[in-house]
Parts: sequence; C-alpha cells; structure tokens
Amino acid sequence: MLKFREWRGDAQQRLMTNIANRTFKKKPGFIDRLAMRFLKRMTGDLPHDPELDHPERDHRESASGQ
Amino acid sequence: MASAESSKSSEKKLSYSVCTICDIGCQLRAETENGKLKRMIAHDNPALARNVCYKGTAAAHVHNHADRLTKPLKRVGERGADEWEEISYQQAMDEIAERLQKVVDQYGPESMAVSTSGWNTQSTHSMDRRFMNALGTPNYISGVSLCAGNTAAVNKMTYGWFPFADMANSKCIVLFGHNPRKHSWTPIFNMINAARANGAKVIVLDPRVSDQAEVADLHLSLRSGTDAAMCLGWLNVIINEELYDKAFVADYTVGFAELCERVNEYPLERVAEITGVDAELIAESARMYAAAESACIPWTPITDMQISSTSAIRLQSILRALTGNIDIPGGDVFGGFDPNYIPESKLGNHEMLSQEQKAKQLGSDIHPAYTYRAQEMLSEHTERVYGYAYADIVMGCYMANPSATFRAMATEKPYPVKAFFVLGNNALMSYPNQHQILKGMMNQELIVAHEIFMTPTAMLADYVLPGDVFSERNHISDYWNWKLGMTVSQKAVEPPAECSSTFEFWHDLAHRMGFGNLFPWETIEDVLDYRLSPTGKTFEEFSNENYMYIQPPEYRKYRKTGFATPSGKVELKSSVLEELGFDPLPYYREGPAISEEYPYYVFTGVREDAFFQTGQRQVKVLRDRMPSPKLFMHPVDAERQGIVDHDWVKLQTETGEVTAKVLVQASMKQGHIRVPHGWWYPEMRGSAKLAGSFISSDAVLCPDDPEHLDYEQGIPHFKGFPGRIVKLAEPPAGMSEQVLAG
Repeated sequence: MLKFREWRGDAQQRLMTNIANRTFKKKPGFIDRLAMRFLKRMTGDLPHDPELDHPERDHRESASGQ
Repeated sequence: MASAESSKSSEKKLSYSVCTICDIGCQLRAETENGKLKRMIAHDNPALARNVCYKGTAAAHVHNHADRLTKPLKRVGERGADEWEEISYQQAMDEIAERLQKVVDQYGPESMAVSTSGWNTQSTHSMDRRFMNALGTPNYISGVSLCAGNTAAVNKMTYGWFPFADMANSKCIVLFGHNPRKHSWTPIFNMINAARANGAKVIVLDPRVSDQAEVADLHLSLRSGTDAAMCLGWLNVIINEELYDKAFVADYTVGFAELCERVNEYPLERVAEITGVDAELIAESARMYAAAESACIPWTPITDMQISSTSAIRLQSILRALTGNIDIPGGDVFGGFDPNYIPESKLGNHEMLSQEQKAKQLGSDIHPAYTYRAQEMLSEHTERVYGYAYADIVMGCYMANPSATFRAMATEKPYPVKAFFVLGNNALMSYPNQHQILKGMMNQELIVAHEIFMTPTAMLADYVLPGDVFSERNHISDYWNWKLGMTVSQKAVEPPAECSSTFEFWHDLAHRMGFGNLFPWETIEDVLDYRLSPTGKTFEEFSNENYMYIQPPEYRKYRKTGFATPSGKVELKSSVLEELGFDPLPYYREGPAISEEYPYYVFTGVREDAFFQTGQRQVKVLRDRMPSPKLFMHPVDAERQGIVDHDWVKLQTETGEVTAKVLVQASMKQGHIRVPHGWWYPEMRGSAKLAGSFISSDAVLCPDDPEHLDYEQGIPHFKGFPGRIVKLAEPPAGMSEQVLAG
C-alpha cells in the first residue's frame, strides 16, 4: 500500500510526464498549447549563448596543414 | 513531415535530430538549404533547448568536412601504409564476404571479432550482434566495456537492472569523479543545476577541484582509484549509525549480516588512510547522503575504470538500496523496457548463438562479469521481471573482454582471431595497451573498417567503408534501454556518394553470407516500423505526430515483481559472483603502488569539451578550441620538476609514454597527473606513423595483463597508476604551428 506521500510524489511525476508529452507533439491541439505555455513559464527565457556559435567558414576547410 | 525528403529543394528546412557527435544524444534541429546541412541549432521545445553544446552546433562542420570518407577503399600497400584504391560498394562487400568466409572455414566462426560503438553508429539496431550470432561468434567488444556498459552488467548482478538517476528531482546528488559541464554531458549538467536550484545538495568525490567540486556542498578530494574504499567507509557510517532503510533491507535484500561483517573491516580510520580524506568529512558526507529525502548516485565513468571497479560499482548499488533510494522520484529509477518499442536486446537474437560458441567468448574464463557466462545466469530472472531473457542495457551486457580479444588477435591463444571488423570505433586508441592492439591488428587476415573519417584504426584495414552520419538517416533513439523515452531523429539530407549506414552493412553482408533470411528488413525505416509495431504505428506516422514520447513513470515496481536476481531480492551478497568463484561481498583492492622511480598517480581516459573520445581532431572549429593535448599537474609538483605552463613533457609509465604540454593547475591534487584521452594528429597523416597515434595517446600508458585488471570484469586501472614526468628541452618534431602555439 502506497503511503500518501509516496502516492503524491509519484502522481506529480506522472503528471509532469504527461504535460511534457503534450509539448512534444508536432500538431498541437488546444490542451497541448496550454501545456507548452505552462512549460515555457516554468523554464523561463533562454538567451542566446555565443559560446555555441562557430565562425562562419567554409565547411570544406580542413584542419590538415594548420 | 518536417524532414527534408526532397533534398534538392531550394527551400530552407528544419528537422529534428538526435545528435551523436558524442554519446549523450541531445535533441537538436538541423537546418538544411538546397539539400545541404547548413547548421545545427538548439531545440525549440523549452524543456530541451538547453541541452546543446558547441560540439553539437559544430555538427555541420563534421558532416560536411572535406576529409570525410565518401567512397569504399581497398588497401593496396602494406597494412598500415595508408595506400588505397577506390572500389565500388558492391565489389567491397563481395570481397569482404568471400574473405570472411575463408577465415571462418579455416579457423571457425569465433575467429571473427567485432569492435563497435552504438553511441557512434546509432542506427545499428543490434544488427551487429544479430549477424555475429547467426555466424557463430561471441567476440563482440565495445568501448562501453570501459564506460557504462560494464556498470550496467554489474548493476544487474545486484538488483537486475541498470537504473538511471532522477537527478532533476533529487534532493542529494553524489558525483564520484564525474564532472558534467556546460559543453560536456550537457543534459546531466542541466539536470544537476535544476536540482541545485530546487535545494538539492551535491557531494563531489574527486581528486581534483573540478568544475562540479567548485560549487559542491561537500568536496572529498580522494586519492584516485579508491572509490570502493570510500563507499565502504560510507556504508560503515550508514550501517553503524543505523541510517539505513530498515524496512527495505528486511523486505527486499539478502546478505545484510554478511555485508555488515565486511563493512566492519573498513573502519573510518582505515578508509581515511586509503583515500586520503579526513574521517570526519567521510562521515559527514555519508550522513548527508543517507539523510536526504531522496538521493541518487548517477552513473560515473570514473568508477568504471578502476582495479576494484566491480566492487565499487556494486557498492554504489548497495548504497542506493540500503538508503531506500531505489526506483523512487529523485532516486535511481529502474526504467525497464519501453513497451512501445521492441528493444535491441530482442533484435540481437542472442538465443541463436549456441552454448558451445558462447563458452568461447574471449575473457569469459577469467573475467566473466559482462560476458555471456555471468549475464546468462540472470536470464530467467530478467525474463520473469522484464519479459525478455536478454537485457543488453547500453549494449554492455554480453561482451567479450577487449584485452583478452586483442591478446588472442596477437598471440592466437587460446585460439586464433583472424578477422577484425571495426565500426564507428577507433579501436586502436580506445582500449588499454595500444601496442598490443597494433600487434593484434597486424596479425589479421582481414580487417574491415566502417568510418566517417580515416582514423589510425581504419588505416590498418583491408577495406574501409564510408559511414553515414545522424543527419543522413532516420532513427528513433530509446536511450539504449537505460531510461524510458523515444526520440525521433529525422533524415535531413542524403548521405554523400557511397556513404551508408551500419544497418546496411550488416544486412548486405548477411545476404552475401547466406543468412539473409534473418535480415528481412530492406531499409532502416522497415526496422523502425518493426520496432514500433507495439504502438500500431509506422515510423512515418509516429514521427509525423511526435518528436518525442516518454512513457509515464511507474515507481517501486519491485513490490509487484521482485528484483531480476536469482533470489528475487537486492543481492548485497551476490549469488552470481559466488557461483563464479569470486568474493560475493564487495571489497577494496589497492592499485599498483607509486615508487621513487614512478612517483605520480596518473589518471587517464579523461574526456575534453571539444572532442568525443578520439574524434573530431580534424574539425577546425573544434580543434581551434583545443589545439594540443595538455597534462594537468599541481603547482608544487611542477615546481619540483622545474616545469612551467606550456612546457612540453613526456609522461612515462612502465608500459609506455605520451608527449604533451603541461598546464599547471592549483585545482589538481598534489601527486596526481591527469592525461586527456584519445589524442592523435590527423594533420600528420602521411608524415608520421598512423597519423601520430603513438605520440600522445593515453591508451599506451596503462598495463592490461591479468594482474593489473579488475578480477571480475577485467577492467584496467585507468585511475591512479604510477608514472613519472620528464621535461623536454625541445618541442617534439613534426608538430604543426597550431599545436606548438596552442
């Protein structure tokens, strides 16, 4: 028999998974969009990280001969 | 469907990808233009958008690289001379099949060995094992034998599965040497940060003041290679102070009394002496872990690579169990097989290989832990709990021992291994004792490599087949059954010229070898349709609807099913190890001692941000960030040796030596030297033997004769073996300007 605290913790995780699954849909319906709005509120804005940028150079350039 | 089916379209397109530049599998988006991969960018789902590093965003530079292999090659010079002629795919496959058959006819099917890594090749769908099992060879080796796969196998002995730490929801995270950073292990780094923001404590056990140690609640700077002793010290505190979950221990474990006896052999004073950590700090950290509302010990590659690795891995499992942190939110969660996706364990067809052939698996006589011999002792229990007899979690549970395999290749004992197939894996530099690996490869009658770049390993091959990359194929990743979830990776562009997938390789070879009926799927999409059949959807249907799906979690499943072990309980005393003739209780074994001649503890196998293992040194945008290999040493040690930052040195052990630059770092533990993993010099191709793969590669340093290996698994002691450092008067000859300057 699950203790109430266990049940609550488990249920919370299942709920969060179900919400997440709704945000993974490619053609979201109304509830899916609500889920996405909720998720965005939880995660906050993500500013651009310049560390992820690579200088735009010809991809055919090789490291050989440097 | 958002993927770029029409690759010649002039439109810009975005598709969803699972990145395999490293082994983490972050979800990114591929932007294509005119049928060409333009760039990789972060995901648009806010839950996934942070999981991106600069290696992932460099994928276009990797996939479009000028040095990428695009045509099948056949060796024309001496083995290793790197001289080739281009041939057609059909000719290559025909000749490979003919020559493999010849080897099998002469030496038996077990004379074929395969080294691969699903991390790199992603879409093999266990077709390698399926092929091998049909042919009759058990000799599969993989980098996961040193990293995660072996942990999976050893975890199964204790409680039947390999749990994934629910870090994001945890109240206490314990990192044994593991150092997730923004650009390495990025999702793990993000999960730890999320937990920390939610009030979680973080305990780091690492000789170095690593990035994670800097911000940890407690940092224990233990001597490298002493994880097992530290865990025994924690257990001593947790048991003797009665901090364990008594109900769980009573109901779900066996061997507690015997474990207590063993643990009492390791009082804190002894553990403090072994680890070099103050006894009070050991006790405080053990109490913090045990008292947390939920706590997890995420998998760590550090514990994987020690002479007491089996015991240390088991001890971490035992800590999880004794503190009641198994299969709970915030603890270590047992995912099980995803009911929506047929697992690779099934596709591998392990039932097909006869017991007679399984018994020939190299290394299983001395070091059986992750071989068929030990893992099949769990089969009926795995089937009872998880529905399949074989649980090849992270593809690491039915492997031959790499050291025994390369020894057999070199010495032909206990029997000859004469055909070596290596796919997506720079095997020469990926296992211990590189000199022996070279000797073994030079003694082969057939070597086939399937690669995206010409690596030192591929240079030793008879045939090199050009591989595809993740942006060029459809896939659904299931995290190798480690955690529940299915993520779609869409084909964004066509593979160039004659590049093909590892699935196609095994499929086409099987048809030529006469058992094509076992490979009824014509395309990767056919395999994906089959694997998705429990959902009633095809790949196209599934990927049109979702880019990801996570099976909602179910916790404490053991209350209904028991554990997948012979006793049905958590085996603190392992019946499998006992039956195999090993100590069934965990213990600490000291690694090789330092001496006046070799006064430093060397640790190797360290991953750097810019690269995954031995890869990507030819990719300029990554190489610019890390131009040369750097050893780390403490300022006191450096001063004693007369060494300053950026001096060139040789690090020598009884087994070999590497040449590298030094970075003097106060964060290092005194008396320790850290060596980065996997350095070679693609730019030296043609001017140095095997592109400089014997200059700076850490794989030459560590011995792998049986007495230097972990008893049960045969794992080398990469974390704390003796070495010395010699300052070089001049930089080594032949290095590029970038290496000299960087």
